[in-house]
Amino acid sequence: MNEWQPVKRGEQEHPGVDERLSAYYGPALREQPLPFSAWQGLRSRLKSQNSPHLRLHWRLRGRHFRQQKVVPHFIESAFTRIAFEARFPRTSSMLACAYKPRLRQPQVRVILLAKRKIRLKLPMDPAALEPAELDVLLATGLARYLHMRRPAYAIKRFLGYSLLLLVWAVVVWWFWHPLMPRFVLPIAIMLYIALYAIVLWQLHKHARHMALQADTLMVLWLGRGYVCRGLHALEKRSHNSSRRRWGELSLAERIAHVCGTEAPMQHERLTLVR
Amino acid sequence: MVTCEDKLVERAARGDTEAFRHLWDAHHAVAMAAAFRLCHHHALAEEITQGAFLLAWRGLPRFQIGSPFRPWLMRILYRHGIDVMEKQRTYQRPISLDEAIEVEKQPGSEQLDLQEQVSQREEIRQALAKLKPDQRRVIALRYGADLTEVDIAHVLGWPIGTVKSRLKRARDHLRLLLMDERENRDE
Repeated sequence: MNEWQPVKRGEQEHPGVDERLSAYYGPALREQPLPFSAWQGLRSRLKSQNSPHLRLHWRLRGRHFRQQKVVPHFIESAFTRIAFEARFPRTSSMLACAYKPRLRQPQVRVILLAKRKIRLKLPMDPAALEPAELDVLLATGLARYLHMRRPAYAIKRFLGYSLLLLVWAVVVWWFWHPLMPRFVLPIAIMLYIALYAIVLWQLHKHARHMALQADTLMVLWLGRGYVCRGLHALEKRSHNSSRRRWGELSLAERIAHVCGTEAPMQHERLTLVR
Repeated sequence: MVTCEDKLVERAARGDTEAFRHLWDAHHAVAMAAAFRLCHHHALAEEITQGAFLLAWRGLPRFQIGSPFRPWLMRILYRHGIDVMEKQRTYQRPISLDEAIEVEKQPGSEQLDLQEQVSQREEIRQALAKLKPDQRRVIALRYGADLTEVDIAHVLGWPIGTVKSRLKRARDHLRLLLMDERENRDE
């Protein structure tokens, strides 16, 4: 694509629409020189954004640098506000942000064992997110974190993964044990695969159940209407809102749960006061 | 053959802002005209132009020396411009009289009755606002930048068939919307 080819106007199928659109955009304009201050403004942004030194620094420190260091102030303050609503005292250094240039829909993940528990994956310009969208993301992270650190949740997951490891160890031991008959091994592996699938399915259901509970908690903090607005704004960005990942709810399911179902009376009372 | 512009690009890619200033001087007025034609708003066009140059500065290390700079820059400008317009929801904002006067001042624009011009443009603006974002993108590039379907496919990174189908759907949808609008007005 070295040269831009002008469009031949005679070949159009929709003359009325074509003419009106051409009139709307108008003819090609003459050059529009900008004042010197425009260059000065750009130059200051060039220096702050992309000196070769900074470029090298980003390359060397890579993902870690992008995730750990840059949590914009407005995100921190929104998170502090939500944590206050949730009566959660400790908010400092819980967030990590990663910026992806082609990301359409921002995402949140909770990693209990990491130093920064709540990880946001954001587009390059996070300031363009609507406040409701951002609040829903942050509240989702915090609500899930609070649910995930409950002993009941942690023990169930620990038991699930331990069971998988234990059965795997038994199969390996069986394989190497000289006295065990070899023909039993395929049966054992089949059983292991079946058990593996069942446990994984249970873990998946468990995580989804937790996500639903976390959404209910988020509605208590932010109010149903506000959460609905945020979820719908996220849905607008999404290519496929009914797509769901392992252990996750799809956006469509979350919207149906939050916006399309009636809350119990005591919950509704709490949400209406906001 | 290494041209003067190639040398400037090479130097700018190494972080030389003075070389980049020469590239700015040579190309910003054309870029600004293209951005202004797309968005019809001077301040936004300036923002788009600066943003495109900023993206170009970041992308210079990947620029293939020897290929012409302007088409590459314009591709960045168009992609960035339509992204900014979608992000700022420019199609949701009614056209102001000041904006119409600003467009009318441009050489080459037809000197129609200003009020009539505003109402016609407002009709199209409302119809465009009802299209899907991807349909608006192809319409903007086709009519606001006079690009062919092949060039639109290059700019947006879509297959040519997708561009054609989206353009056709967008035109059909627009025609229906404009007909509805006219019927409503007649009633």
